Amino acid sequence: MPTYAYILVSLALFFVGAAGVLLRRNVLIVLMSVEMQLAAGTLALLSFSRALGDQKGHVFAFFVMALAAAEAAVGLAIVVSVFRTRRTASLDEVNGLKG
Amino acid sequence: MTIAAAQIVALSPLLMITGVGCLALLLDTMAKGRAPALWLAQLGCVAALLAVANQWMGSGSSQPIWSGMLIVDRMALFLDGVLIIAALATLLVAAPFMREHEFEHGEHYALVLFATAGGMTVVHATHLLSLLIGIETMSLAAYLLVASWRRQPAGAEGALKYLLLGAFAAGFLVYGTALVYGTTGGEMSYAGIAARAARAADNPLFIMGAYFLLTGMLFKIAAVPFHMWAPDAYEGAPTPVTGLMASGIKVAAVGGLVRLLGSAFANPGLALGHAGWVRVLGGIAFATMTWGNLAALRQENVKRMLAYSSIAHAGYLMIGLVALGQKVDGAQPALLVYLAAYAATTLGVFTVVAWVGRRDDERLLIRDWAGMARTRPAVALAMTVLLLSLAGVPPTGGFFGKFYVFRAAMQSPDLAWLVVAAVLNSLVSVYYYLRIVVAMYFRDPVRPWQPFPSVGMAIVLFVTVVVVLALGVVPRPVVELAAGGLVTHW
Amino acid sequence: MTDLTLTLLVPLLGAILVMVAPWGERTSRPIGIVAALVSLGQSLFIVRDFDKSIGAFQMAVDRPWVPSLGIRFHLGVDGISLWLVLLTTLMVFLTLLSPQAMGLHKTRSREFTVAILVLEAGMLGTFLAVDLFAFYVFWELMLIPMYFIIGIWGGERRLYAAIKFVIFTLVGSLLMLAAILYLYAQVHAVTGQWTFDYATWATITLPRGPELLCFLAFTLAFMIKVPLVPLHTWLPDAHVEAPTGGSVILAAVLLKFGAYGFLRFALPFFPLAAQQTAPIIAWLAVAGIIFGALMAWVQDDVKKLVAYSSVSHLGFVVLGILVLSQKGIQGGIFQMLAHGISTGGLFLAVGILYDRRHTRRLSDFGGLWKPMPVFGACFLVMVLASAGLPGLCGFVGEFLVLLGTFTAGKDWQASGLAAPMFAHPALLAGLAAFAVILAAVYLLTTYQRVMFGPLDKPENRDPQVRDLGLRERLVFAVLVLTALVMGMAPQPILDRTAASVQELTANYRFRLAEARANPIGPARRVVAGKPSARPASAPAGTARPF
Repeated sequence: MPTYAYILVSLALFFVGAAGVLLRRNVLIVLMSVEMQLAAGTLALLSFSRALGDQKGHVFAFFVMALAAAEAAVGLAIVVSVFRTRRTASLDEVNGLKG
Repeated sequence: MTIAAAQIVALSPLLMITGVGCLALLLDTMAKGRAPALWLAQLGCVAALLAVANQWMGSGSSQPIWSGMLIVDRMALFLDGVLIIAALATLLVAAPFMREHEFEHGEHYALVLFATAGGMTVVHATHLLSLLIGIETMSLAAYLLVASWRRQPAGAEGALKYLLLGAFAAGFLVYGTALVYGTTGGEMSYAGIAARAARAADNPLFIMGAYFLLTGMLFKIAAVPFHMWAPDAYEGAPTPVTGLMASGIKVAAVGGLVRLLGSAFANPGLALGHAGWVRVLGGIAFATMTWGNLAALRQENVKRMLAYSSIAHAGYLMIGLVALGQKVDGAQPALLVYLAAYAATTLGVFTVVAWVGRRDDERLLIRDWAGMARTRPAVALAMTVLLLSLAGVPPTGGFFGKFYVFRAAMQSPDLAWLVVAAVLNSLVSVYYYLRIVVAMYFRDPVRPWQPFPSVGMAIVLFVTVVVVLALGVVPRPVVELAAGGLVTHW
Repeated sequence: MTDLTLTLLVPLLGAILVMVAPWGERTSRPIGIVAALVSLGQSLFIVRDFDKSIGAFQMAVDRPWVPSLGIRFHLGVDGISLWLVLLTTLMVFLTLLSPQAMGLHKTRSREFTVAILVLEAGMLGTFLAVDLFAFYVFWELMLIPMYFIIGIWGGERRLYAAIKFVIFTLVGSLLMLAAILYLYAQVHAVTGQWTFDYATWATITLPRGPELLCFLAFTLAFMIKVPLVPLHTWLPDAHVEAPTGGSVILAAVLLKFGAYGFLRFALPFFPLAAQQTAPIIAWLAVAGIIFGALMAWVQDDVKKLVAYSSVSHLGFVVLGILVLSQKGIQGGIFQMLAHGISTGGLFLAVGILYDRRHTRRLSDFGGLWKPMPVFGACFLVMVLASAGLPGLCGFVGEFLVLLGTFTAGKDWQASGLAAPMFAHPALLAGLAAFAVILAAVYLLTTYQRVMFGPLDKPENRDPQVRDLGLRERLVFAVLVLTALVMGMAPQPILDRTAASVQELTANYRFRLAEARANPIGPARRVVAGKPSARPASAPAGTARPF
């Protein structure tokens, strides 16, 4: 399959993920959208890597995966912390800080 | 790629901070009490500072490390020094603060060190991978630090917003890397990108990738319109952490941008012209400083006001970046001097804010500060000097930093409007900084203020005030350090 | 030879000493008075050592500050700043000596003394600075102590007055900063070196558009300080709410910086722009003279009355400067000094009235000559000096300005100025002279309402309303004596200002002629043919394109 096809798919994934982050209200869905963005990036990296015959993209993708895992861990820990006090996973109600 | 001993030595400050951070974490689990971890962390900072000094005296030339992933040059060492001092100051302030509010835990100290290590990686980075690793290490540690005061729900909320938007930004960084990588034929190092930029400059995917990377970085310095997380994160975080975020993390991110924009994206085809990042960044700088200042006017909460003021300062810093894009000679040293002055001032200001509260009474509203000059004249005077530095009133370091950056900007005729806008923004900022001064000096005390005794906070406050005044009255050593001793070949 | 750095250091050291001295409340005043006295002595030495034949800066202190950016710590005194320095130290000394300095809140004298001394250092630095960066630093340095003085020791609406003062002043000075930065870049573009040196900057001519913008930025900053109508609205509030000491220094010294800055920087740097806008400024000055006088006439609050009289008197200064002749500018400078003495004295007198009676309303006074005869005499001298009675200081300045303005048309032709600075100088002089009559009216009626008439209000018969004490007599003795000496023997003062004024006007004319000859020129360097007494001479002037 030509490279641009992969790139188009990854772009689509990226923007869907971005939309999810900006529009969805449930924290867990937002976290998933972020992961989707990272996955899109990974896909792009791998396709370019394959097209160019270079290894750097693959290596970078590994790092991105590690990063995604770390972010998910930290993110979920913070969500749990928020949930403990707020009893809600909806972003609309997490707005004690205003002004 | 070989790992030569010389390169390890060159990177010793960074490795030291990372190592000591891990050790502190271990020590915290094994030793009784928090003190050992704290002392280890502080000693580690001092040792790392000595390592920086040692490197500085060593070779005058820049050393690429690990096949161009990192570089050790004078600019990186200068910023390392600033970051380590910020970490040390944060440790000195965080320990008594946490003890007073009863939430001390040793991981906090380790996290501070990890954030600093991430920041140091960012300023040494000459490759998109090291940039990403540095940014993310710094950010992840920061998210946890913001949430670290478990009894305060505001902390977790702020951390959540910070994390969600920060991760969003990370997505941009990754995807931007991918696009740049693909369109330059496999380049991820700044030098490589710069070499291929001329050819790739008219490829829309390359431009998109460059802008994605820029967006990701702009999130980290809380530029408008990517600033939404900052007020909540700054307000919800425990005050010493806010100080670290406003000083250390911002310094690291700007340092990273200096390298990114100064080498990788320096190509005039990309930078200048109608869609060039110089123009875009100019507009963002204007929006950032204006919005930050106007929003700060309405705040009653001191921390939140200082958060918006921090956003405004990012705007002034971006003026320096714009000048850098126009290839003005004095732009880079100007940015470094401003960063140093800004970091010192911010650390001092947040130390005072941290010191003002007691166990169940954080006193974060401006009116709670009423009459402080009567009960604690020295602290009030120190705070006044620091606020004047933030406002840019001579003879403080904040004024000199702003002057230096504006000087760089004025050399390019297109940027004159930005300087005028910045100058008017400074006027607006004077008004809200003076509100705190008014409360301290011109109003009668509402509740007597008994600060808790803390040698650490006193030391940090004293040193930052001295540094701020010194930078204002005798800036010459720092200017020559920033301008002369740097090798700015990329 | 006197070291100008010491002149700046003495007040600062005094301030530090006051801050750390034990038994703060009791020792702060004496230490402050001593420091101010030493400062006064130093400025007298400067006057003694001043060589009146040199027009350029003397006793220069020139040390590198940040060499890579061209910033030098460069101080110097010339005929224009000489007497202003003496005025500053004298008024600070008298302020610290007078018991009413802090108004009614006689607490925290330590902080007050520190504020005044730091303010003095800033004021002296501004007058002595030759390097533009140093000038700007000292200019801004003056702001914060005055803000504190008004805000802590002031009257009921002190917060409002203080912040208004800060905002108004800062608008001007921040725009001036932008203009300074622009000029700095242009100087570099033309000469190839980074410098803030006054002598170099005075030789650079900008293209017309940027020149006008920079001139407006500088002028705005200075005209806010003068104050020139309609930018004067901060002044009545600041003066009324400030404590007596604050008002005295504000009127006597701080207001001078507007005219001084305009004369020192705005005119020499931007001659063509000045020429173009001079008519507007001249009319605004005369409008201010008349408006100030009329507003003073209708006031019931004595302090506000004196404040508006300030606006009126300082209009003369601006008018004199704009005439750009020897008579006019020397008259303007003399008027600055005279106004300092007379209005400073008036504010002190009002302060004493307020201290005794806790009111500033004219209708509350009357017949005070009976309980306070010595005060009455001193107050009378100050009132007459302000009104411009010959024999006292106020007359000389006003007379020279009016004479200069009246004969301006002839002077301009004789000196070779290609075009007049503004039209109808004789008319403007006439209007200003009319305002002198108004001044006499409102000042004398005010005096009458306060001092003469029946002593019918019971509060005025209170033993609290006592005559001048020893310190107060000392202060007024100095002021009265100075007013007399200045009025009777003005020549020594005028002698020492002559050479610098001459040099300034000559340079202005030369650059103006060159600018009119090349109206569409780029930024360039233009050097007057006359050799200057300054050792560091510029290279032969060549028009170097941008």
